[in-house]
This record gives sequence, C-alpha cells and structure tokens, in this order.
Amino acid sequence: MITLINDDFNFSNLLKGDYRKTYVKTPSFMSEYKADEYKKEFDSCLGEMNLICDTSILDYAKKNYKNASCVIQDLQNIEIKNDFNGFNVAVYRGFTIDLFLHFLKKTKAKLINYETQEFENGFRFLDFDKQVAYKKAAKIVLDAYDSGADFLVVGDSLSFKMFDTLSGELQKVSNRDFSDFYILHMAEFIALANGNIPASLKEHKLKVSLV
Amino acid sequence: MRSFILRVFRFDASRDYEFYYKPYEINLKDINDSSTLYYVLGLVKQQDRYFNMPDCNEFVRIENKVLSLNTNINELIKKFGNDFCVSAIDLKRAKLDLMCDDSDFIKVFDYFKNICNADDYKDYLTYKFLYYASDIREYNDEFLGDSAFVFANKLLEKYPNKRKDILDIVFDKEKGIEYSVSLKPFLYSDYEKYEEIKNSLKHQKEIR
Repeated sequence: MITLINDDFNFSNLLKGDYRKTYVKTPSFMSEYKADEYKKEFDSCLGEMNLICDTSILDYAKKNYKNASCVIQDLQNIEIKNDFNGFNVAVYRGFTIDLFLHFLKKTKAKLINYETQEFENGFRFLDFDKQVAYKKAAKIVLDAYDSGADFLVVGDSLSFKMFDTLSGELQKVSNRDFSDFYILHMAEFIALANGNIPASLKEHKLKVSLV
Repeated sequence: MRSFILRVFRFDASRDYEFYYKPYEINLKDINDSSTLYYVLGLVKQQDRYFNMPDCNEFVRIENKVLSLNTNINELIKKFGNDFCVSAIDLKRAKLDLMCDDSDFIKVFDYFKNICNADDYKDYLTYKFLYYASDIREYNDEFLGDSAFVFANKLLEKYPNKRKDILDIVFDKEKGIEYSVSLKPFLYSDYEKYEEIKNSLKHQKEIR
C-alpha cells in the first residue's frame, strides 16, 4: 500500500473552477488490485459526499457500486461548450477508462491509437530502479508524441506525476525533446470542454499551449 | 470479402540486414470454421516455398499481443480485420522468419537446475511465450522473465521442502519479480491467470 495523491474531483465543483486535493489510500497499480480495499476506500470517499475522478475507482464503481449511476450521470450531463474538433488526442489507458472515451467522442476530438497505450507507467519502479521507471514512462509519452497526438490525456494522478512532473528526467533519459507536447488530466480536459480554464494548467511542467 | 491479407514477418539472420513484412493473399474458400493460424501459415508455405514453417506449438505476435499458432483464424479476422501483420515473438531475437533464438530463455533454467529434474525442464519450455511477452527485457537484460515465476509457482507445489531456494530466485533484487510488469497489453488471452499467479507469489515475500 502506498499513500498517494489523488485529485479528488467533484465534477460540478470542478466546473466552477474550484477543486481540492485530498489524500486517499489506493492500491496503486493494477497488478495488486483488491476489490475489498477499493470498496472500503470508495465508501469512505462517498461518506464525504465527493465523487472521485480517479478512473480506476470510477470503473470499479460502474461495475459494483449502486451509486455509480450518479457518477456516470454527472459525466454525461456535462455540457460541451468548446469542442475539440480537429485535435488529435492520445489517451493513456493504464486504467480502463471507457467512460471517458465516451465523453471524448462527444467533444469530436480524434482519438489516436498507439502501441503503448496500455503499458504500465513505471511509477512502481521509482522506489528501486529510477532509470527503468523513467525509460518506461518516456516510451509511452514518446509513442503518443510520435503517433501525431497534440496532447496526452491521463485518467489518474500517478500517471500525471510520471509524465508531467518528471518530464525533465524523461527527456534526459530518452535523449529526446518533447517540450512542445503536454499532458492533461482527464478532469482538466472535461473542464476545458465545458468552457472553463482550470487554474492548475499553470502548474504543469510541460506548458499547455492550448489556451 | 472473398480473401484476406496476411502480412508475415520475414527475416533471415544470416543474410538480411533488416526484417520486412511480406503480404500474402489467402482465399477464404481455403479455410473453414476450425482452421488455425498454423494451418493458414501452411497455405502461405504453398504460395512461397522459401518461407520457413515454424513449429506448431510456437507463439507469434499480432499487434503486440502474443498468441498461440493454434488460435482460430476466424476469431483473428474478426478481431484484427482482414489485413494484419504476424510477427515473430521477439523482433530482436528473430532467427529465421517466425522462429527466434531462445538461448537466453534456456539459460534462465540454470538457476533452477539444482532444484528440479529433466521432466520439469520440459514443463519449463512450455512457458517460453511468457518470457518474451513483456517489454521489460529492453530495460533489464538480466530479468528472469514471467516464465520463471509461473514455473517457480509450479515447483513450489511439487517440492514444498525446497521452498526457500525457489523463493530466493524469485525475489532476486536485480532480476526478480519486482521488475515484472502487468501482462495485460501483451497477451491475447488468459492474462488474468498469470497475473494471479504472480500476485500470489508476491505475497509470499514476507513469509519466505
């Protein structure tokens, strides 16, 4: 078990341009997926009347949780004010994110398929072999970049940390420069589609040239 | 649709500088409901006698997913469309067309030599596809491969008294199970089964 930062989004709060960060304990990667622990976490989060954006939980909720319908409803009710027509969007699918792909279709963005879209993001390797961790992450970002995507959308905060916060290391390790590329969190993408510019865009390491 | 295109990986390590994919048109009349990929490669062999037939129990890669030659071809057409590439399981170790040099895979068995016997060796060979499935060997040459872990799990059941020796190999710091990645993007089917085995092994670290 690793304590990690999950961006905890209430979708309707997000649209007002206001969202908080909370600390949630979550099994960090797919290979140690334990349904019981997920349920416990999900229960405690729901207790605070928050909806969680981390798609792994969202996905779990969709399958197993009675209240999942409200999560899905929230996503579907979001009005699209700016569409992404003409954009090539790559989506990292380390976690299954069917719901989001459905949303993406509504924004008219073109979905790019690339080979490494389901590979592990390498976060797990940071503890004991940083080089491997950076190389694995760099491979995914570069693959999306080389496939002609304008930006990469990730569904969970861990991948975001790997791809954006550590992007300096990734560029060093891979000997490639991708500073004109950028990463968006799924929630930021949703906010942009809805016509809001989230404040967090300014904190990105890879500068967002969209707005 | 009366035919489909199969692009087959061609490479001769002793002559070629680079590999290429050669397209073959397969008439759908020639296959039936139960035809396997191996049977279709037989049709390719009829068209091109310089193609080297792989063994029938080999594994190949289609769109990065590893699958057995015994997979039904109609299933593949449904999933990958009527024009897809069949490549060797590891492009860098390809020797002759779809066959690969597997000496590095066999070398890993040396670690288990003192623990088990010749019968187990045959069993070990059946896990070859797992060794080449994931991409982690690109970053760590020493990595034992997922094959070794699944094999070790079998040995644990067979030789419970040699438990410590087996687990010492599995939890090696430089090349052990810590490095293994999720097989989901790499296997065509059954990845859950192997993930479960690896997870159950990981939980035995403390009670070794």
